[in-house]
Amino acid sequence: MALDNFSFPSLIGYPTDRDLDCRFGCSSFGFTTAQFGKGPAYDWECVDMNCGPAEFLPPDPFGMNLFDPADLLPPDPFGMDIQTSVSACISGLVEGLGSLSHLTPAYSSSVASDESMSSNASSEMEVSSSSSHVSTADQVPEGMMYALGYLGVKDLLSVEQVCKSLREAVTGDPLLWMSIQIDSTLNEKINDETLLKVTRKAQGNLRALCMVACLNVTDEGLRCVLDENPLLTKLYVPECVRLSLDGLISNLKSFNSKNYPGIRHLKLGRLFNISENHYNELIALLGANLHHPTAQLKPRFYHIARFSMMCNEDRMLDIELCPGCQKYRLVYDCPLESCKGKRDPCRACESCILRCLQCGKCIRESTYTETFSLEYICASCCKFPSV
Amino acid sequence: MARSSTENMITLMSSDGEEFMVTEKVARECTTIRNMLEDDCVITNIPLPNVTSDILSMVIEYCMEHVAAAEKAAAETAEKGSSSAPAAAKANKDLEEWDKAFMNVDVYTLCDLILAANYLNVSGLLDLTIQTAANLIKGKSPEQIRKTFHIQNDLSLEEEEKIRSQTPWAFEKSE
Repeated sequence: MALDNFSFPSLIGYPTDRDLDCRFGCSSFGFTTAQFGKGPAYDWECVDMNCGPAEFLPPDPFGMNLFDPADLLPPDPFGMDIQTSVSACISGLVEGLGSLSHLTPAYSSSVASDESMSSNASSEMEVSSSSSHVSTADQVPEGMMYALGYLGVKDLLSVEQVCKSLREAVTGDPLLWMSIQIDSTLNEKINDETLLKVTRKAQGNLRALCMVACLNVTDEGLRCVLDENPLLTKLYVPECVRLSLDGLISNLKSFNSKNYPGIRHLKLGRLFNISENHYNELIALLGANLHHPTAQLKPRFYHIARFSMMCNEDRMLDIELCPGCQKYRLVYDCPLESCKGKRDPCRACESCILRCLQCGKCIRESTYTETFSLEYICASCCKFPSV
Repeated sequence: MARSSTENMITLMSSDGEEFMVTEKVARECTTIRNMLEDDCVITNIPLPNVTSDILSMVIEYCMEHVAAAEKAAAETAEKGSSSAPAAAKANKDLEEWDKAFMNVDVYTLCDLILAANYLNVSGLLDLTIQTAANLIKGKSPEQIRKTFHIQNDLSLEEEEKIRSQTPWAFEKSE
């Protein structure tokens, strides 16, 4: 009999059979809905029955909350945030200009039209939400939004205060904060608390953090930032005097054991006193291949902007064994043509080979001037100061 | 510059109906147009509904200048067998100077150029315009940015106070 064949798991597993069974059972044997009322009742069981199914059903038989599933969802369940993600997408595109040229016209025009659509939508939304307020989406030139991806932390904080639509663009777009560089414009004002606030703007999307000479950031502060940003892969902390090497290594250890891919690029600068043990530990932590041929790496030159984020992206760790003093330090190459190709390459840390602050050339055989801050400038740079 | 008569001419039509005759080589600087041409090589008339005539004329000016510079460099290389480094550096510098002068426009034109460069996918121009716009923002206070881009402050006092209270440390010295 049909009822004997009623086994719910199998019915649920095979929707087509289940429909057939249901129709068959209902029409041929005509059992009443009252029988069903006791057990769990499925909506499909009532399809062919001429009675009000709702009377027999509990209000929410499966706890599915079918009536208003939207209530269960957060306002933006998939974190799509369409309006801002499009502009983020564009700013991302803009950053990778090299790849832009490969785009097909269909793609780029669709991006452009999406952008205009989303900005239209946002202006409509603003009008409808507060009719007393004049829409401001029109007064910000659309092209200006593209420039946001080119700005640093300090400028983004300024732009945030300009007007409503720019504020929305800046705060609603975590991708603008994916790479945070704190340099001389902000480093004195950044402490543990403010660092955490700034990195929170990335909403967990932070990939690269560069802090140059942030004198007030401690190991504990860095740990909090690492805890909240599992996607971080680049960490540059040159001249951050309050970070200790042991604290840094233990932070990295716990971070890399919890997260994938973890920190893969680390810059320490010249202030840490790194022993061989530390060095080996760091190399192991970063997963660097010790046998990686160094010839493939770009030469590193000594110059003023040597701590900039853009320098030597291919190095996992900026520290290496100095061929001169056999200590773990920043090792520089020489840009001087006459130093190239010699058997004894002009390659050592800054204390083994003195170099000009501006051009990075070694000053072993030329005249030089010593600056007030005990750095050196070669004779040719001294004649044409580039600053 | 002498152009061979066999070179294809392409007509670009701006949103307001103005037509611009350019060589195919210049048009190909725009990746969007290049892809159109590669998809269907008999196209000679391309409507560009997103670009106005004054902006389009600027984009074409930029493309022509850069095509001419590239041609000149290629011709020099062919003549001497190898390009001399100082000459190439000078040519680069001249082009940079030209770009710099080219960017001497008001912010509205600049922003329209960004959109056009994005739509036409002229990567060099897009980079140049966006960098110029970013330089206009860099290092400025919110009030200065409003002035530069002719934006009205529509934030209420409370909102402004709230934003500033979130990041007071960032503006302590500059204001």
